[in-house]
Amino acid sequence: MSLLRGLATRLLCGVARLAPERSRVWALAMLRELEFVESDWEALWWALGGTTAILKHSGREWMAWCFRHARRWEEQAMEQMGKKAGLLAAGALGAVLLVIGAFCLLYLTAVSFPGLDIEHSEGAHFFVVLVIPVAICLAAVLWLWRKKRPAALGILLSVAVFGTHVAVHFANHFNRH
Amino acid sequence: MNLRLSPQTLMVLDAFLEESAAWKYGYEISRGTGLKSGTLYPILMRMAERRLLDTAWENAELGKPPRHMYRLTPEGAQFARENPASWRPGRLGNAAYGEVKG
Repeated sequence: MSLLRGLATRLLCGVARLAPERSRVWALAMLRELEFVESDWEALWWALGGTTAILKHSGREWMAWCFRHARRWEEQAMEQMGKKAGLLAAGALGAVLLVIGAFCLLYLTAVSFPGLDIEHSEGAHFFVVLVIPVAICLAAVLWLWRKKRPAALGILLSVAVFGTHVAVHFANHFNRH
Repeated sequence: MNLRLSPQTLMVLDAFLEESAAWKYGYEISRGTGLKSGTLYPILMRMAERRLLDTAWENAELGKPPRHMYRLTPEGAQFARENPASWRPGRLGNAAYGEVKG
């Protein structure tokens, strides 16, 4: 085997060894054909052309792999984000519904037992609408913090908004008196 | 299926169409079309990826390494017939440089 042919064979052998799985079969195909190439110079050009083709193919395969993985990662990230946003909204909504429920309970009690005069009792309002729901919310936050943190954060968000509202309400109330 | 119909691709399709049922070797196609390995093999790879080309390893005799063989799939043969060899000098059609969807 001449020096040029030996070089061509070694080049394609190396390419076949290093090429990724899907390109390797093509490198081997070119290597097998090398034996049928008549002139030595032609064999060397055959090997060089083959190497270029495999490099291009491997590059394209690698790019496709990167795009596939990037797209999958993006989809997973979007899914995770959607799930977290859903839990956050559910937590916030749950806390709001709890406060509305407390208001309804207070109203029903006032209507059902007018003698208790709950409508004019600030203590009853404070206890039923603020203390009980906030206590339930904080218990829920503690329970959910490890398992479903976004839901716990949603509850905390609602409690913070509600707390601010109550603080502003009380500040106005005491300023008036 | 989306294959760029360069003049070289059309030459390869034409080479296969001469005997569409017969298996061909890479070097044989290269000699028939005058294309170098660096041009021919990327075309063969794209055709195989788009299922226009069947590939197989030859059942070689004992002691001889097998060769890789190629022939058109039925879809490939239909595709080749729909895109005739307009690559020949003086017969370059518009499709020769365009993108054809099949």
